[in-house]
Amino acid sequence: MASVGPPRGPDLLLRLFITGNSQRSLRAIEAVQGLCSQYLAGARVEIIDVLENPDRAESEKILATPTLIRQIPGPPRRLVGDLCEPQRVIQLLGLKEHVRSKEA
Amino acid sequence: MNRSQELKRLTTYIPGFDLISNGGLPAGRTTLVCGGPGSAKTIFAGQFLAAGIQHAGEPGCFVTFEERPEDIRRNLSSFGWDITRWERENKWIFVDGSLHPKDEPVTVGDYDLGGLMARVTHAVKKIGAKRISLDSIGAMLVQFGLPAIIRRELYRAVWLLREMDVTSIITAEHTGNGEAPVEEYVTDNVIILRNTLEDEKRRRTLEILKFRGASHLKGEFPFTIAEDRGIILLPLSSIELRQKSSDKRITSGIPELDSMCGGGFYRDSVVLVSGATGTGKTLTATQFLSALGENEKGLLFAFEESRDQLYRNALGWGIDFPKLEAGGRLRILCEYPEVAGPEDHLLRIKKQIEEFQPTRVAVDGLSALERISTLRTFREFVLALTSYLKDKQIAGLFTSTTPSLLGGSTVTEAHISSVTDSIILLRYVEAFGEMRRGIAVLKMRGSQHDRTIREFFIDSKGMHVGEPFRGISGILSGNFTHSATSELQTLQSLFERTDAEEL
Repeated sequence: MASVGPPRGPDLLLRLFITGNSQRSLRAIEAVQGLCSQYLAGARVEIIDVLENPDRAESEKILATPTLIRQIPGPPRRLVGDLCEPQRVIQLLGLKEHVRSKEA
Repeated sequence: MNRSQELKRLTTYIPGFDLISNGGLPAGRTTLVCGGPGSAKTIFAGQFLAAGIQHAGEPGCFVTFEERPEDIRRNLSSFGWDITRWERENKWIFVDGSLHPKDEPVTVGDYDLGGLMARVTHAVKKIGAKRISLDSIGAMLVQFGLPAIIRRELYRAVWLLREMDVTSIITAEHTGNGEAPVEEYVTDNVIILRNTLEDEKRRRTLEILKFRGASHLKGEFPFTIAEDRGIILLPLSSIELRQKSSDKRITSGIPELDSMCGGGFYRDSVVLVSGATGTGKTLTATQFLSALGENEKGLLFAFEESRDQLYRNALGWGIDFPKLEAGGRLRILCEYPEVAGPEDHLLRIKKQIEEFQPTRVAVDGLSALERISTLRTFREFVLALTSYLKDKQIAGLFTSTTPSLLGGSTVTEAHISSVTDSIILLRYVEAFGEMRRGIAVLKMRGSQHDRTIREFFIDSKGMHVGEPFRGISGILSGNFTHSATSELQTLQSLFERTDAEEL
């Protein structure tokens, strides 16, 4: 797999909206963390609990949790679910060019 | 489960709804409001909140999945609901669950509606909402495309709402093919809104399908959407139950008719006058309204004649309508039946009655309304109007035109005769090559009355009732037979009184 090294700064920001400590929330957090450590080394991840920050949920119009938003690069793209299939997440969020495998 | 205690109710203040629901929605519960497209679900959802704010000072939260908040603000403002102001005053709050088509979510794996519920909880706490409307589930199902998850989440939402101690409405699409939507099983309470085409006429109804553990009236109740007030239900049977009855009599304006009725009409009774065109129906209504006692006021709704025509007619019988109107004793309203549906006519009539506070109301040309409605709607109209008049202790007189000149009955009569207290028939009688007029009191609830068919004349002072027709039978049916006088006398001596027979 060809690795394309982006030259600078916060080039990938992911926001994950979850609801408290539900099973689905925990699975999603785990999935995103796994995704980052395995494929998306330079990514920044923000985790927002809607129970603690309902205002954030309101301004982002979050209905379903977990919701993963690719905030940067824009325009934002959304993915709903516990993200159980990493390859599909990468594909659906258009993250292929950000993938840097550990070996590289 | 065997607790027989009735559920607490939340008075909705949606006109008529609290009557048919025996006091309002089950408090603290969720009620599903189902209906097809254009069945006024969103209006119902909006009015539930607006009425709470206007009449009970209860703040409300509107969760929208279909239209954007700005659309709802605009669409509902036509009913006089200033949502923008209420939002400023923390009485109304939106939770916008509508999605832009390009934001359509892509799903990977299992999810819940935690975001939505957190937002709703937050909004409810923020303004202390007592009422919530969610409009509509169908739009949410479309957004996510996984009905099984949405239904599971709906179930959780209903529990959450219950714990928050708010009374809520969830609207849902109803395909109308008889099959109950699955959402019905999620809530204990289901209301169905219908907007159907019957005989080329639109008819809106509301039916309470179930209220678990709470009583309600059954069946469909017609409603209308008033421009400035929103949904108004016409609860017919419920008003009927509360009717008081008076034994005070008032004059019909025709002394001989009074004595035929056993001393006049009852003050809170409704009389139907039926006859062919030109038999004197408008005259009867005119005399009824001109015989106002002290402190009495009359209101005339005319569906067949113009104001000028009515003035001229009345003057021909020695009654000065313009003078009565100028003196504030009388009000005349002429309307084409076609300008509105029966429900709207009923509302207008009620509004006028509330404004003018008459003691007598006449509707001239009730049968004209039959043209613009289905039989069922028409019957409901008459029933509702009758109940309303009786409730207000107003004397009513309706006229109805029979289609054939001789005898016959109208659909109107057949359908409303049981509703009115008295029926007076005006008939043409052919006697020895001459057209004469006959009057009969067919029914007089709660009173003795004259059972003969009497001849009457009309002159410049109005109606004069004369002697009973002798020697002619079959007047009511229009198939006259003339019997010889001697035979008649024989019969009369055989049966001194035939009053016992009830028609």
